[in-house]
Amino acid sequence: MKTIFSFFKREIKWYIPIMLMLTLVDFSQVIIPVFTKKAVDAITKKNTALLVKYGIYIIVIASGIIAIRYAYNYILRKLVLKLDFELKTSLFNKYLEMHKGYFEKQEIGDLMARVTNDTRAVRMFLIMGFLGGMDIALLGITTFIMMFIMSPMLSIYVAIPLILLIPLALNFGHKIHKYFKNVQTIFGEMTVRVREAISGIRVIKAFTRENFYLKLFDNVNRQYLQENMKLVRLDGFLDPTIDFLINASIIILILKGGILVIQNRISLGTLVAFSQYIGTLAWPMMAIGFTISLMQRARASLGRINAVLESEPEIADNNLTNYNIKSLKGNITINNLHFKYPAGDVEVLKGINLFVNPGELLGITGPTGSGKTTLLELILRIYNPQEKSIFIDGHEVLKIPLKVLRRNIGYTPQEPFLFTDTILANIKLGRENATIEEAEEAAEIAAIKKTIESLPDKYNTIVGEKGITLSGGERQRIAIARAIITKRPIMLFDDPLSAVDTDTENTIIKRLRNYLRKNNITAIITSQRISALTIMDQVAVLSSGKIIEQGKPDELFDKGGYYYHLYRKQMLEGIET
Amino acid sequence: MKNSNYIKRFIPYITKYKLLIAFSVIFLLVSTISSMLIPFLSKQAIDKFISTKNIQGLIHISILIGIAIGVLFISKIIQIYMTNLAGQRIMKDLRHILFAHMENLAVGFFSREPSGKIITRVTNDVENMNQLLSSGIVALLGDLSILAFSIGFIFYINPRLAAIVILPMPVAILAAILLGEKMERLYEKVRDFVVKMNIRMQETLSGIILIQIFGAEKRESDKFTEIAYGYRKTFHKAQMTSIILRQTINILSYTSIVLVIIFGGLMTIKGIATIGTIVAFLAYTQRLYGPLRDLSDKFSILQNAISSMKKLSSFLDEKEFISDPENPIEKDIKGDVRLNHVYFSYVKNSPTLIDINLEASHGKKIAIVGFTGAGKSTIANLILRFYDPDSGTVEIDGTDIRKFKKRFIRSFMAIVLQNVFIFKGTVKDNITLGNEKITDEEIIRAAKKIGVHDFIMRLPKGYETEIATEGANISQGERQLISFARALVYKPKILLLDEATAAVDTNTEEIIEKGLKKLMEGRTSIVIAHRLSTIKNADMIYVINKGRIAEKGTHKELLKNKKLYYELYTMQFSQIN
Repeated sequence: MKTIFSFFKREIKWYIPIMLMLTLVDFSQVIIPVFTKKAVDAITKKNTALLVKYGIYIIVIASGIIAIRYAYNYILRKLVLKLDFELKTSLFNKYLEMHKGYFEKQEIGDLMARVTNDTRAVRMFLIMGFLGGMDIALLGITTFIMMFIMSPMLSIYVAIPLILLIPLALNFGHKIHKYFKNVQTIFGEMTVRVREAISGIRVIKAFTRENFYLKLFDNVNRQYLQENMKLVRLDGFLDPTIDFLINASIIILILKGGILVIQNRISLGTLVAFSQYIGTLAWPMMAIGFTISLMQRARASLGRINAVLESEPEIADNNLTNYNIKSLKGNITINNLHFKYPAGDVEVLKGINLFVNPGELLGITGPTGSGKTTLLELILRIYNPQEKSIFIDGHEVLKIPLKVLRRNIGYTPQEPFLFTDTILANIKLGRENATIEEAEEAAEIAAIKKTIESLPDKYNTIVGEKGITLSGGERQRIAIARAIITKRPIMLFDDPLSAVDTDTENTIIKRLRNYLRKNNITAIITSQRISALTIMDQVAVLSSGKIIEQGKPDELFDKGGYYYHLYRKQMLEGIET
Repeated sequence: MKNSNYIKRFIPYITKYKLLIAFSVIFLLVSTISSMLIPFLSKQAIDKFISTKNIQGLIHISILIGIAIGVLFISKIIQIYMTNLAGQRIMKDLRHILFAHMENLAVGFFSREPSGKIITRVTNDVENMNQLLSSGIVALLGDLSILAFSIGFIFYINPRLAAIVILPMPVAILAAILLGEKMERLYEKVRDFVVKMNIRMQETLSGIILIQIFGAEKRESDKFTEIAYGYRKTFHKAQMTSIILRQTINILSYTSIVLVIIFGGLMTIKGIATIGTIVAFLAYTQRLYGPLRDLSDKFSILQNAISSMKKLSSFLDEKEFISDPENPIEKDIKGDVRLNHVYFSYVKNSPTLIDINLEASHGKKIAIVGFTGAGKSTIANLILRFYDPDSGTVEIDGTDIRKFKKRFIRSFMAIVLQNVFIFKGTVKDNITLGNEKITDEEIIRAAKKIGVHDFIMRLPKGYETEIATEGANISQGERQLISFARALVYKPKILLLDEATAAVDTNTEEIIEKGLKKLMEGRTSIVIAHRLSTIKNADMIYVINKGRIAEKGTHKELLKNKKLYYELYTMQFSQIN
């Protein structure tokens, strides 16, 4: 709520003008039928001059109403959109601070919906709710007072059907929203069915299962029709019912009002004025219902927005942070590191000890699920390691300012993610001011330069989800170039070559090693490929969260353990027979 | 093509529900007429009975008004329900046709067209077309009849007054068209901004860890803020345009009201009109301006619907089919596969396969190896008849496969792909692909044979466990095993393995190889691989290079040849020697 309150506080100067304008408009609107009444009474008295005078009054007041309406709408909507903008950007900036664990718990679609749908609910309430609220308070009450002054009895009669509009709008608004959500859910399911038929088309065709997937689709298709008709059955009642209640009020006016005119208790002018008041009174009645249901929705949405804005990033600087640390050289010490994922209860790492000198290359291997990726993620503080377990240059990682830590480590994740942008922008992600030559140099090391240059737009080719499709190996190589160009003193490569074919793999490994050596970069590379491991200064074998072997590649070979077998296996496949 | 031609194509879908549509139009007219009668009857009430103090007559006419109100209420509800029911049913039929059409399109279509586009056709475009009926045609018809009846009634009551009152109308129509167009353009831009905002968020949130590590937060935040700001400004402009439009129509409607009062009043004084006339005119002018307020909305809905209709029409015109022969052959299939001088190209003048001759007789295992992009997978695509060769033949049991029905010949084959596609549903569904002829015992037997039964039983609900979309909650290796079980329960004569073990790590590989062996027992197997260890025992190995068969032979023979195969085989281990 803080964001909204501080916003209201800041914009307080606008409240009074808007309120004043609204009050003026509402009163003017109530006055018009009074002049209509006077004009009609002038007609019955055959007074032409008075008739024209009141006619002109009406048009003047109406012009005033319109001008003021424009003015307050301008200001109000500008303010609300400003708030909307601030909410959107604060949400987005909050997301940028959040840690990986946060995004594992939340669906991306849901987080996006907070920026678009929830802010819309707030926006709608602030505009419609505010205007509605003012109209209820001013227009509704003053109209009724005016009617009451003209004829107390008639106004009560006429108001009876209109009062029913309140619960109507309230209940309908609520239910319609609920049904509408159901329709959207089914629509989503339908989309899933189409998408999977497209992605799995080869399987469907090869196994000749076209009819079955058509049947599945038809089920959702039918459900979609049913949900839509449920909505129609409800929604379709709303407009006719509103019309019905207003018309009921008119019929009461004619019958009861007519009798009163016949009895000479009210004038014909009053009757005409009342017919106009019914129109103005109907809206505030509906507005009560709509405003309440908008408010409920906006409250729920605000809750969801605030849940984000008020959550604190779990991984951030705190009072332990030592801001004297400005840069890192590259010694990595890992001391009895144990780790459990926040969500799980299995220990993924069970007492890891490692020591890497600046400029040294460490290879980590081991079966899938042995904890290699986790180890790298802990060094980067993608998750927080336990206290006093990971040190860089003798500083505990938890005390290194997060910015310093991350600006000194280059990284390629296991799944190479490319942004929908040019190749150049993707490579320069960590160093915006890098030159094109530097990008080319990085691409050369990652053995992707030729591929890029063969593309029609070269480095300006758009890649990522909306751009051209690259193979897994090509994406991995761009990810390697992206890390290399940062020239950071420490680099972590998580299985960087898994999708690269064998000959390219050898090229990259050689170039990468030269590059790391030349720049004295400390690097940790996880890999299953023996060709990558043999050129490391030391290799650690991880199995079920423990280091089972560690040493120089030659030493490990002599030990005859996992490394030896991996080596033998991959070598035998080459030499056998 | 003219719009009318597009419409023509969809007429059969509409005529199927002609009774429903005819009734909705009838009820639409009934509701319009009864709503138009109310002011007319009110006039009669005032002029004939209230002015003459005839209470009896007043009661009678009030009953008439009451009937009109009741008819209006009921006919409106029926009309809304029927219109929507017709629309929804038409859309359901259309979706069914579109989905079935999509499933029949050749595989080539899906690799060419982005899946998002195809999904939009089957879902959103159909939704837009629905609007054509309910919000477009019927709403416009409703508006037009309101306009026609209102004008008709006022001219019937008092032509001279009607001519004066209607004067501001052309201006209002002009404003509705001009401002409406501008407004629509602005709202279009607003929607573009929303799309951009969503793309931005999707990207940022997917790559959030990279952004944090590479320090690109500020840049991402700036990009998003820029879009959000554009949204804020454009949205404000769009809202203000719509307010100007509304207020312009309001002032013109006030002008008409004043014209009614002054001129109607003057005429009443002169005795050529009555107070009742004024009351009726006031009610009719309100109805006259009503439809203009959202005229532009309706036009844009119509435009949208027409553009969707065109897209649907060209999607349905898509003729990229693999066609079945007129007199298909049906016979027992043993499973001898032969490629006979096959040439094939995806893109003209850029051949993918050149003069391929290949043979896999019943029960034999052949392998196809080669570099990425050599054309290996294309061979599988041709055998499954996902594509037809440019020249040469693919034969099964000595018969050109084009002489069989595609679904017939495919029913003797099964394919296992590198990227296993998991459908939304249970483990069981993913093994059977919804084929109810496959019994539970068969499924379990297959899973046991493959070695995946124990894994499945460990899942929370065993075979009935729902697998998350795209198989997110099971590992790559487990997915692969499920796809083996899938192939096994279909008891194919011909088994195609397209890089089925490429993405699997060394640990899982052994289990998978065991499963594979079971799977291939007693059937013709065609194994496409770049992991050569899996194909050493093949009866015949074909090495494909640049679309041609470079060499063939058994593993031993090929190693002795010391050509491409030998190179491929030893490449991975060149580091060692």
